[in-house]
Amino acid sequence: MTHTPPFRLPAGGRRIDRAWQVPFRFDGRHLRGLTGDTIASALLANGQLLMGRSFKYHRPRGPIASGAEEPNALLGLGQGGRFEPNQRATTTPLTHGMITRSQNCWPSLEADIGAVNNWLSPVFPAGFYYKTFIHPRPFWKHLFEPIIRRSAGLGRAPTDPDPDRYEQAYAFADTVVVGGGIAGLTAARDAAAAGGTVLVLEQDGHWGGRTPTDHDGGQAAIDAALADLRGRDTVTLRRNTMATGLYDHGYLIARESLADHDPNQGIPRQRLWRIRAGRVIAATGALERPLSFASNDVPGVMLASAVRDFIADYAVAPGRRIVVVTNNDDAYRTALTAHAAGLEVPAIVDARPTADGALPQAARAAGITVLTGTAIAKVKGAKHVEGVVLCDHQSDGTPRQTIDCDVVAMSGGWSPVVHLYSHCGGKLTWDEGQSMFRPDPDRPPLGADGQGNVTVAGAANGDLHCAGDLEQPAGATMPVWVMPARAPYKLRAKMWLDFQNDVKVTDVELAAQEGYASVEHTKRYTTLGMATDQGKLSNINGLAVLSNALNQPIQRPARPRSARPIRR
Amino acid sequence: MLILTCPYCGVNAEETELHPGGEAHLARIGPNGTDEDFESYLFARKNAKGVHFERWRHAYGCGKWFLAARCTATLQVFGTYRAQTPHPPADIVDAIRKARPDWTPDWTPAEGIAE
Ligand SMILES: [Zn+2]
Repeated sequence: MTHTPPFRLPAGGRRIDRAWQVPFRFDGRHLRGLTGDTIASALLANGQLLMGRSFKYHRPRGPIASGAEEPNALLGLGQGGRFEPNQRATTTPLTHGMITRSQNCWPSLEADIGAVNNWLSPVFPAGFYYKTFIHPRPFWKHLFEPIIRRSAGLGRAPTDPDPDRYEQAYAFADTVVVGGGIAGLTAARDAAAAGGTVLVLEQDGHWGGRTPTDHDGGQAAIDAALADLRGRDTVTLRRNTMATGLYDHGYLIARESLADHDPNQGIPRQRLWRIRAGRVIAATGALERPLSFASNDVPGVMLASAVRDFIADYAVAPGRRIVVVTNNDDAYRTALTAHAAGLEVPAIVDARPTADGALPQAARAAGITVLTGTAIAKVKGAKHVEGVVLCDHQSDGTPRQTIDCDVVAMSGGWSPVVHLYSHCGGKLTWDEGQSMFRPDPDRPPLGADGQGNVTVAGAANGDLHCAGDLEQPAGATMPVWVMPARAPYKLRAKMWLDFQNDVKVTDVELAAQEGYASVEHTKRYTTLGMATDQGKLSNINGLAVLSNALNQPIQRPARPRSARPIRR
Repeated sequence: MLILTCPYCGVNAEETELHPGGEAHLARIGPNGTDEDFESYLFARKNAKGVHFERWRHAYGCGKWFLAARCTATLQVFGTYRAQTPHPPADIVDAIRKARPDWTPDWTPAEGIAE
């Protein structure tokens, strides 16, 4: 199945303004996006799904996510002193005349010579660096090192001095709410009503998080909450500001984007905030997890939430025929959104034996085929998804049928964003029912008085259905760490866990087999979760694979803690 | 970035206003001390994980030295007090025991000079 235009849908797109076209360049080609686009949505609207190549094997990669967790779509932006490598296409707003470049490829993105690493992948197993450092010394010095040095490094370093200005600022608030979604805005309203000053930080340029995209009436609820907060003179709202680290006694660091990549405004480009918070409410939401099935890294395999965002927020069709694969009800929203936008949804592949929640029922009522107890055995295609081969989930991957499609929207459930809570000593607990790590309310980070100074609200607290009256009853998520359940080595060796560092299920299993029982050692041995995305997508899946390989419950090898700062 | 209250001027001072002075309540060794005593006085420190007593100077404030009792593991501050005392005063000890019932002082109050 080929990738066919038009990619910009005729209607919808809550973030774009069709009246204003924005010219920009990608690898020298002149393209056009719309005001409100991110670089990723503008590239997708031009049919450009391939946005980069992976670090180790130089495999072709497109965007997986639509936000800060994106591991693949990293571009070099600007030129001269303003050149900046490794910028996330999914979070960087498109600006007039922007010059963007793909990375990790030579001579070009389409025909990359380093991809030869991919065929040599059996020669580069997990722990390759450790093994060759030790054993055949001459090989290291004369063979591996020259090759690796030439192809190493993510992006290129800029050569000229940075001409931009940056500034610092201080702020003090009784309560700082991190996250401007429905949970954060509700918590901010309650805090303001209880008295004291409130500062609300949102990393995105838009308020509301997932609520406006996911719920009918979501935008109205967000607007009402914002109107209430704007009417209070004790509340400060600050967008484009990402809280990156929480330090001792409520010392919070945040980075505000003022004129990123719009250098002609004559104002400082970014502002570093040092904030003294009496207490912090982390309403940082949750991130969707990928599913581990064979060839889950082919461009066109994306998170279900990202497919939904591109359609609903930017009116961009990542493809015309979208297969949804899931272990939970939430991904059905993507099928419904795509269907409503006039795109084909040939099937929803659900690993669970039954799916009878409100959303699956709505999908069936819309005429979408729901295949329960089913899994993806493998994805067909190399530079682009061409179809999926399906099998029973409780099987070894024996093919049952093939469906042509150009996008696979996957959802392996959601993981709370717990970084701020664990930055300053807060501990996490494994929630068996929802298969997720969430903050342990009995072991919070402590302030100077010995009392907890961070609380967590909404999806960040494991409450994935936090939109109150807007929610519908949902079925439970079934943990799926490997798809299909009894996948043989041949399939597991093609299941990517860490997309940026090219870590596969079999790499983590090899680490376990070689005696790496601690997650910290396994991470270093395999480089799982050590890329610039800090394992936002890969860590939980990797932990689950490791603990399965060790025959231990997930909380035994896994004591996830987050390092500061969070990177965007 | 700790916040400590200066016991002299009452300011809730941030760490950037303060200058650290290391472990508090070190007993000075006189001219008759042995080499081992001097070595211990100059170099040996408790480096405790848990309750710890420290010297701080309110460098960008009143300029005075004061002492702080805090937990190095959880960052809880039990209190700050003036520097002219050979041992933590009773109210600080009480505050620590309230938060850490199994903690016991490693000095004998009888040695202390009466407040
Ligand atoms: Zn003072």
